[in-house]
Amino acid sequence: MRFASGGRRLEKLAGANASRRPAAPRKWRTLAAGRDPWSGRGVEDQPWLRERKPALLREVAQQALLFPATRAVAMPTIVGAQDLIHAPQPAILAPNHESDIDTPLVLLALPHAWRSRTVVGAASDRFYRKRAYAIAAGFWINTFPFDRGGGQRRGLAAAAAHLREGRNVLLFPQGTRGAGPEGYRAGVAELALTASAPIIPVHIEGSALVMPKGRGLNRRAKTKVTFARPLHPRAGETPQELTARLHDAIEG
Amino acid sequence: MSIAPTRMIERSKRRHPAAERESCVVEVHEHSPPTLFHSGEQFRLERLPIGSRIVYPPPPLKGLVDVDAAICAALDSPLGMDPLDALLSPGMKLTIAFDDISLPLPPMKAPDIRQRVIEHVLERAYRAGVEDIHLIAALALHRRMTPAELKRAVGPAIFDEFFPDRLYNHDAEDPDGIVSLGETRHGEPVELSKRAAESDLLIYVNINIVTMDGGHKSVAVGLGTYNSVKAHHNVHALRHSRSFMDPANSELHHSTNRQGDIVEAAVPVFHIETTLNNDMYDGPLSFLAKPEARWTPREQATFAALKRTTDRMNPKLRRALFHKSRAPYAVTSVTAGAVGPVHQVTLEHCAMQQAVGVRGQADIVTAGLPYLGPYNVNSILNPILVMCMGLGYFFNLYQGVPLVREGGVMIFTHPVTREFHPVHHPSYVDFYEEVLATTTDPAEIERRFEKSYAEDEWYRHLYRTSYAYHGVHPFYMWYWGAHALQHLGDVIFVGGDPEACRRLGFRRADTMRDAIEMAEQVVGRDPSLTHFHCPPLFYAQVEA
Repeated sequence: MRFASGGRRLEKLAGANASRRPAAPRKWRTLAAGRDPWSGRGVEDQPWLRERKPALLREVAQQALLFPATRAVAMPTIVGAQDLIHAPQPAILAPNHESDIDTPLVLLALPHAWRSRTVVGAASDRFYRKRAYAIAAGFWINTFPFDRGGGQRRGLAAAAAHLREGRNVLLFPQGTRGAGPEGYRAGVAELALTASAPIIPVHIEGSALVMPKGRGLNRRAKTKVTFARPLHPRAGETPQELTARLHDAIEG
Repeated sequence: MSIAPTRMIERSKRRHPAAERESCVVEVHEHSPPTLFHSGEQFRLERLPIGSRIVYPPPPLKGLVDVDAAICAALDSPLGMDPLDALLSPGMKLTIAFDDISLPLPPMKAPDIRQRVIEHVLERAYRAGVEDIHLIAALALHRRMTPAELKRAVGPAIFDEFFPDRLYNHDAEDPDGIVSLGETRHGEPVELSKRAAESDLLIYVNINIVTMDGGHKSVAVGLGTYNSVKAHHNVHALRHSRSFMDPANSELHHSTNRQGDIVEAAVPVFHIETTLNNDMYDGPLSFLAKPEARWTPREQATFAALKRTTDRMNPKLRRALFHKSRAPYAVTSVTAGAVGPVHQVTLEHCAMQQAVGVRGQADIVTAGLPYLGPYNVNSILNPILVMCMGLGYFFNLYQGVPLVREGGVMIFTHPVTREFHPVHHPSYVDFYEEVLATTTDPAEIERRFEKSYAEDEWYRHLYRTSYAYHGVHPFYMWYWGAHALQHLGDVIFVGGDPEACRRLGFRRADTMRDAIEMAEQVVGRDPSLTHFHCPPLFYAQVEA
């Protein structure tokens, strides 16, 4: 069957007919089952971002942009930050994790003496996939790549190295956002036991409403950041026991 | 004031539709441009096979130069009745009924012709000293008109004076407002608005946009009830209305005529019928009614911009914009008098504007369904209304034999989306979810489900107090396509939603070429194809 072929100009001008079938997407949506085996770190740590000049720039950028923005959307109330001067450094900061805004919230709650010495453990499979992401995360919140899972304790080794060098390490004991009160893992306790560093439990309340997992900025809401008394690992304590104490200190 | 009959005061010489019919049927040749298809609120350009026919609507007729004079002339020299002034007397009970929001399509630019006619009628009534005047929107089982819509139809002056106590919507479910006038000789019950039935004179102001409207159907259906409408809005009558756009061969109209006779015996009816031309696209879009081969480069560019814009627009915004459009219709005739003779003249005027002669049926008929039907003004064309538009209206826009042969295929373009207006079409949702999930056979649907929907208290409540169509209305929409369902071998929607099309019992395709290939499997190789290039509205007089 032959079809009419005149009026090419009109057809070109008017474009293709609207179709129910959308064009092939640039990135196909896939079903995620388990951890992505290919999602290892693509970029190494960026230690130059912890040098003096970038650190100064970071402090300025945080105070000028990141913290005002965080305060605007999350409206935090901070409890117990002033008592941190009595706490020993270096220490492990261990907040519960509901949202991406947790890290800026804790950072802005910390006194300058702590913040300037704190590095944040960022999942290498999420934040260190591309160089641009790595630099952005490193610049804004002073991250180091933390390899999750795998049983090789590579992430813990990196964190222990930072503790040895006298930096505080911010690690989320739940390992991911939205794991819930039952989702505490033993990694942070293991680190505290091996590096014999104190853990400072931090409780964040209400951040899930501001920036829930899987969505961007949701709405403004009031949040509360509470610092508890430091937990010192006891002699002969197992990681599980310490994790239970940590859990009680954060969620209790 | 002229007392000449309406027909004598047209500006141009009366055209002969036959002379224009030749040029309205165009054959597709190798160098034909792509053909315009409406597809809801979008447009498509489709290439048709060489040798196909395209039936275009006739160009718009010139309107009456002086509509007011024509109305006066019609009222002064009615057909088969005394002049209106002689029928009016002080102290009488006068009811003026008028067509509802479903006409014309799209709504006409202000002033509405109903307003102009009613203004003249009221002026004469006041002059004659009539005081008891009621205005009723004759909407049968359609949704009530909102105050804003009533205001648009009758004009602000009349609205302010009469609304809400003397200008209101007909209520077919009001137990105190309905009176039974008996039965016809075929046993069809006749129920009518009490106010209309007890008036000394009932004046009906009509707009005849399709040949189905008008005549006895106006009063008997418009002011009727479910019981009286049921007599002809059923599968049997609609299957034997071939077509219901041809009153002479329509079981539906035979039935309404019998009911109309009973009504006329009970109350004198002064019928005023008006016809419009088919000038439905305003200003720079008027080319959409023209054959594509006649589009100038400027019009082609306009169309391209229009198509690209509508394709990219937010669907809600697009719908809102489309439903805002108003047509610059011109009035082509005003006729008044007794129902029968008036309707004869009106049908002639309709034919003059709309009739296109076509010789021979086709294996496949294609048509693009627009965004608007009679039942979704300021609303959503839901899947059931899409079916009614395609198989009810487009298929039935013929006189003689259908444009498509028996066992042939109709191909429509429409994105049949599963969307319903929650206020206007509540019973449609349940019809779609409950009834169509069970069966699509009109006779079975009528037998098993109609009664429960028609007598549902909640639908009745919504119909009477909200702006909902009557519970039984989706059934009538389905029966409207009963003749087509029986006649056709297959129905294909190009670009239709797969799930909705399946629910309606139709097939769907992504492109016109796919659809034609699918149709070939039903009608055989190298089928003859005819494209029905509607809107603007017209009908085909088909000789087998």
